[in-house]
Parts: sequence; C-alpha cells; structure tokens
Amino acid sequence: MRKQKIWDILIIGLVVAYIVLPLLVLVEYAFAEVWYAYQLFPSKLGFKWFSWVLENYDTRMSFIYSYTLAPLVMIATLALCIPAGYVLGTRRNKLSLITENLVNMNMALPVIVIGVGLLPLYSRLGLLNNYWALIPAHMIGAIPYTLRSITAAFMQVPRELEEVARVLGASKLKVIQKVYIPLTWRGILAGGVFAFSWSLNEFILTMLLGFPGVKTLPVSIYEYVGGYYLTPQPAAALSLLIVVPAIGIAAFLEKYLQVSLGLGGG
Amino acid sequence: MVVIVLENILKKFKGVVAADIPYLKIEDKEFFGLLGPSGSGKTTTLRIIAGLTKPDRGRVLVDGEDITDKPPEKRNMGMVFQSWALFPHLTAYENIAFGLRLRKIPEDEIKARIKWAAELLQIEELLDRYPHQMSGGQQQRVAVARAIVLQPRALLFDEPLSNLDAKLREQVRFELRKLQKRLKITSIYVTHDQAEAFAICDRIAILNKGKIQQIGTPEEIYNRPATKFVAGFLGVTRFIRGKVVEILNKDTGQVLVETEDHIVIKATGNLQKISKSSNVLLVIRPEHIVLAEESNDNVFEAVVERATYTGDAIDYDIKLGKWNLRFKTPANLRISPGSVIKVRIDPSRVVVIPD
Repeated sequence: MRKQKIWDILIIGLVVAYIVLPLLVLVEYAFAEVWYAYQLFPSKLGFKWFSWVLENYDTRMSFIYSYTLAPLVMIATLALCIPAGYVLGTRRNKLSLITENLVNMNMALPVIVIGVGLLPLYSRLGLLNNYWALIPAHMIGAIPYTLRSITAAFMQVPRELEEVARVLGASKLKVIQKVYIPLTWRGILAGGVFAFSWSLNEFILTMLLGFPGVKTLPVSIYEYVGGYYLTPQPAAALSLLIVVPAIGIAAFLEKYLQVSLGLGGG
Repeated sequence: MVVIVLENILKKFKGVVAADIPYLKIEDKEFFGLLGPSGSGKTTTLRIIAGLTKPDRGRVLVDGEDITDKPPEKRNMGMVFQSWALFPHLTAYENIAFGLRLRKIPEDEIKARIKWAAELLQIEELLDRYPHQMSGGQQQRVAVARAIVLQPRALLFDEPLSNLDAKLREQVRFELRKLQKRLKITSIYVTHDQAEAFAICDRIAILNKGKIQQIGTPEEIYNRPATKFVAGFLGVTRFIRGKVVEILNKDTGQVLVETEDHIVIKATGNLQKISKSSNVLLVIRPEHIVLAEESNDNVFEAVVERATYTGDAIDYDIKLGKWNLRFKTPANLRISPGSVIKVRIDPSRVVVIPD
C-alpha cells in the first residue's frame, strides 16, 4: 500500500515538474534584476524587465497585434465553424465523414508545410506583411480544433428535439436559435477558446507571412532569444505577459463553464 | 372538423419500401391506430403526416386541403415522441410554453393555457422542474401537455408509452383514451403493442412491410383477420392448412375444411374470398378450443405435449393430427403430458382465410 502511494506521488510529481519547471525558470528570469552566473538564485528581484519591454515600441505593438488578432481569429473561426459544425453534427452522412477526416488530417500536418504552401501564394497576392491577411492564416490551424468541439456539441443534441420543435411551430432558423444554441453554446465557447489560444500561440505562419511588418508576441519573443544576441530576461518578461492574460481568460471561462454545468438542464 | 386522408403515398429508403399506402382515411375525432412490427412503416406513415418525412409521391390531405408540401411548423399538429423529446434546457413550464411562445401568444393567455393543460394531466406541481428531475411517467405527461396546449388540428403519438414500465403503461393507456375522447381531437397512435392499440384506438390499421393489411375496429381485426399476417400478428395463433370440401351455410359462411392429414373441421370463412376446393388456413387461437365432455360436433382427439402453469391458468401445447395447437384451462385442472384428450373447436369462431 505505502509503496504504491510513493510510486503515485513520484509519477504525478514528474508530470507536474515537467510542466512547472520551465515556468519557474521563466518567472525567475523575468523578475531577476541582478543575477550573476555563479549564483543559484538572483540577488535582486524587481519589475525592471517588465517596464523595459513595455516601454519598447515594438513590443507594445506586438501586444496590440496579438490581442486584436486573437479575438478576430476567434470570431471568424466561429462564424465558419458554427454552421459547418451544425451540418457535420446533425447529418452524419458520407460527405460529413469525408469532410471531417480531411479537416482532422490537417491537425497532423506540420504547420511549416502549410506555410511553405502559403508563402508563394501570399507573395503573389501581395499579402505579405499584412495584418488582415494573418487572420485566415491563423484560422487554418484553429479550424480543426474548433470544428471538432462544435461538431461534437451538435452531435449530442438528439435529433428528435429538432423534430419536435419543428412540429411545435419552429422554423429551421428558430430551431437553431431556440434548441441548438442553448444546448451547444458550451461546445461553441470551448471552440472559441481553442481558436483564441491558437492565434495567440501561432508563430510559424506569422513569422513566414507577417515578419517583419507584423510582429506578434511570439515573434517578438523569438527576436529576443533567437536574434543577434541572447537576452533571456526581456523574453521571459514578455512571455509572462502573454501567459498571464491567456491564463486569466482560460480560468474565467473554465469557471464559468463549470458553474453553468452545475446549473444546466442537461 | 379534421379528416386526414393519405392518397397514393409511397416512400422508399434506399430502394426499400417504407410506406406504400394507396388510400387511408382517418375520420374526424377518431383515435386511429397504426399497428405493426418494427419496420412495418407505421412510424414512417406518421412522420409523413407530421411533415417530418417527405413522401416520394402521393398526397396528404387535411379536410381536403393538400398539405403535402407544407413544412411541419405550418401544420399545427401535436406530436408525442417515444423518447418524449423534452427540451433538456427548459423547465416543464417552458417546454409546454415552447409552441405558444413561437405563436406570439400573450403571456397571460400562455399562463392560462398551461394551467389548463397542467390540470388536465395532473402535473401542476412539476412545472418548474427540468426534464432530468422528472420520472419517465412525468416526462410523458409533460410531453402530452406540450402537444395539446396548442389546440392542434391532430395529435400524433409515436409509441409514447414504450419507455414506461408495464404497470404504468397499462394505466396511462386508459388515461390517454379518456383525454382524447374529452378533447375530441383527431388522433393517430403508432405502436407495436397489440394490447395498447386495442385499449386506446377506435380503429386500427395493421401494417406489414409498408403496406396496410387490414383496417377495422379491434374486434373486427382480431375476430375476422383478413390475411395470414394479421391473424398471426394478433394473439397466440396457430394455423392448420387444408382445403374447403363443402360449403354448409352461405349466410353464416360455415364451411367444412379437410386438413392435409384428412381431418375434417367445421369453421367459418368469408365466402367472397374462398370457395369450394380453395386452399385455406384455419386460424386457431387458444380461446377457440375447450375440453369436450361428450361427443359434440367438431370434437377431436388430441395429445397433450406440454403443460405450463402460468398462475391464473394452465397453458397446453397439444397435437391434433400433425398440427400443434395451444389452449388453456383453469389452473385447478391439470392434465399430464401424454394424455389423450377430447377438444372441441368452436366452428363459429375459427376463421378460414385463403392460403
């Protein structure tokens, strides 16, 4: 019994450490104002690097880019995936299954492959370095996840609910509004969060198609650590600044989802 | 007045006939049953009337008006599904109000109508519950309330009791019939359960493989089955194959049938369908057979093969010639297997149908 428990803690501890350790290093670097190579821990902590990155025009712009692109990508992805998810979720025919497989295949495809395809296309159309043109680029990677979540939500609504609503006097549009949306909004919201965080994380396509005109946060961070000289501190501070609002939004939604699950009629 | 007529209806799914109904008329205010095994087309027929399934050809008429191309939401019908299909995100009250809200009926009238329906179905105390907080029987009542509150032209029931336990099911049958007679709404009831259809419906159509086999009152279809399928589907039925050798009475339809193994049995048939030397089947049910005390007419020797005690009776498998038959005696009488007994087959009740 005891031995079993030790093993459990060890295994779970490993997983937790795996996730938490890089974050710890990140936090340490972000707050370290003075940290010599021979020291195990920084000798002076502070917000120096935060104010440093926030005063930088480039990084401020990348904040604006990232946090405006993400909601736009989310809205556009939802606008596409809600009707598509409705069709795929309610009509399980051959066409639906083929479409689904095709979309899922996209998940296994390395983003760089898509990027190589898009680069000449964007270049011909003159869309390189274009903020708006990044929206469809980000959507490519977001759609499979969002669509999956929304399709699953629609699939869980029994067919009879639509039928009984029709017999009771609801047009097709009213059925979506009064039956499907109330029963699928959690899946839709989850799909939206996927799209939002995908856009926030997106690096490869942004780098290929947007750089240097449009630098989102991941691209800015890369510049600090992968540019001409290694400056981990501002990169760490910037990374925390991405992570904090993202975690905040995720936590808020998660809490909201949980609360409504408890209230729900399902 | 609401009379529903199906004309020339055909519906195929992937080349297989699901419903093929040249003509069917459901009279005003009647409770009409569609009875048949699964896959017989009864639900397809109901869905065509509701507008949920589009027929390949044919017309649906309500009071002479062709509604074939009307979408379900414009037909003003009430429907109760097998799963009851209550909206899980709405309370019972909001479920019942669903159709009323779509019709933009003022809130105080909605309230009054729901009160009326809730009283009728005795669900007043359930109105603020969600479906998952209700038992099957309660959900079924809410589903019925939701259907009747719209004062629909017709009520359509798709096996609404098959998810209830046996005892409750029996009770609800009578309540549904009472309710329909009180509301006087033309209603159609789909079921595979003979007892349910008999208890609820005024007239019944028996379906098989998409086609109507026979239409009639429960008594008519049970006592005078027109086809082998109907005879076999209703009750515990055994068939004896034979040939008409003599017509005894043209008025009553009494005939003599000689079985394949040369037993001559007196029975009753429809003389429009059979004549002398027709190949026929005798439709024999347990209640047509009694123990014979003395030599009466239509008395035969039979061997008891098996006796099964069922509580209120004893069920016998007997062999008459080469034919297996079933009959029952009171539970206090016990005939041991292997005994030779004399049984009388009631000639006025055994029906002869064409083979």
